[in-house]
Amino acid sequence: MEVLENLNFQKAIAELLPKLFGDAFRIVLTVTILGFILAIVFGFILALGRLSKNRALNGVVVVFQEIIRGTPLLVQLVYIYYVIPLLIELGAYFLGIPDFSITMSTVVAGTAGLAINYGTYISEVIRSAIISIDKGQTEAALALGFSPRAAMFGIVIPQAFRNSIPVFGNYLVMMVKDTSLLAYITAQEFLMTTKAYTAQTFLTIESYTILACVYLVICIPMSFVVKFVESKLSRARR
Amino acid sequence: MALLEVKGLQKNFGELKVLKDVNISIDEGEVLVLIGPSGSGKSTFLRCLNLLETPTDGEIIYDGTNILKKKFNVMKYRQSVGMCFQRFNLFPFMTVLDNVTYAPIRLKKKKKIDAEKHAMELLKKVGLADKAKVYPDTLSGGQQQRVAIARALAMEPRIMLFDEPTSALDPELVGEVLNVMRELADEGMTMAVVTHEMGFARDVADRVIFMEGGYVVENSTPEEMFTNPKNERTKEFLSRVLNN
Repeated sequence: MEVLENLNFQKAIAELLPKLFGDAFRIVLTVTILGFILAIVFGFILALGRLSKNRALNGVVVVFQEIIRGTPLLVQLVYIYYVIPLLIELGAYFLGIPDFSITMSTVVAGTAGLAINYGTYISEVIRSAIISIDKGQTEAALALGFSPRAAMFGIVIPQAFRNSIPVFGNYLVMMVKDTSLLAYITAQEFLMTTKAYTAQTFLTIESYTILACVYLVICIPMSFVVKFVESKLSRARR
Repeated sequence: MALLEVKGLQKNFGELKVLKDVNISIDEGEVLVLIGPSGSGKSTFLRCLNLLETPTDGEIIYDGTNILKKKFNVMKYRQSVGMCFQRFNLFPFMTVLDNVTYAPIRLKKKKKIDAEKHAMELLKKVGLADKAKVYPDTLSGGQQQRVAIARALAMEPRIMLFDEPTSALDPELVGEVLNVMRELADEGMTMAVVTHEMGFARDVADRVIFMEGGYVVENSTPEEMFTNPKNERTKEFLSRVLNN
């Protein structure tokens, strides 16, 4: 078969791999690390908003969560990258700054999109982790003379956070894979880089096989680490 | 003079009236033991004393101040009222030593080294100095409760509240906790204890209170209560718990 004879993995590996583990890897790493840290921070804020006694705040958070969970991540990324800048320009126009123009970088838009989307899902993880901490813990802290806030942040949240770590790990692995969606808003991550390379060389089978392997090489060890941490934590917890 | 004076205390949970009209005073250095059938309101009463439950009506006078008035500094007050719970409620992510020093370091602004020195003395007192560096989940229930007592004592409270401290323990572990409590009582600590341990009530209490249906039914010395109870309900309750 001609296709088989024309397969040239050597060339593809020699040319594509350096590209993937160069700039593309740097982008994936940046977006994942930044996006994930922001997602956890944002998730905490949403969870606390959801748990607060303030009805209005509760409502705002719930509506926000429904919007994020009811729309695809890809659509959110497109919205942030293409629509948000236009809305800002529109806002500036109405404020009397007619020539205001901004361009969003793909990395910024991608990071923000992943952080908001994952933060929303993570907020529910954190919220249920907080709720599942025995009420006796709060009572013990209050009885010692701590304020409700100090009991929450000093006693309840550290335990809730610890209990959430395995789930966080799974989300982290998912996020690495979801950075591929950033190709759609033209971020030069793994998928986009591979696509550009195939367009030049027509080494389609080779390139996308290499791409899939790169994801596997990153994600499988990560999953193992997550499982290891999980078993460690569950052993430490009685 | 009474350290705590409770007048006309009422507590409702929605429609349910748990405390109807409770009047009790606790003198400095006194050991008060509350007994009664479950659902009689003794635990709720105890939890009202440090405002873990907010009373519906009545007064609780501490040192001449009504702690139920607005703007009363509840957190400051709770620092002087130690509490031990049925389920211990130790902080599982801290070592025993950190459990004991956590509050004094943060709330009393004690230096870590001083707090730890004091904590070690307290742990020695409850017989657990060798467990300072372990985590609570490696301890037995009796040991955990003794740590909880040390944790409460670390704040140097003026009164200790015990909410069924031995009810969650295996029978053979009850004694070690009661012994620590007995020792505390001998040292002159003011204590309010909700318990089903009638032996402890008889030996250690200065005063025993029998509660039922949200009221104090009988309030007398242990001798009176256990040898010559006045109220029919008290007699019935005591004959039931003492004869089985």
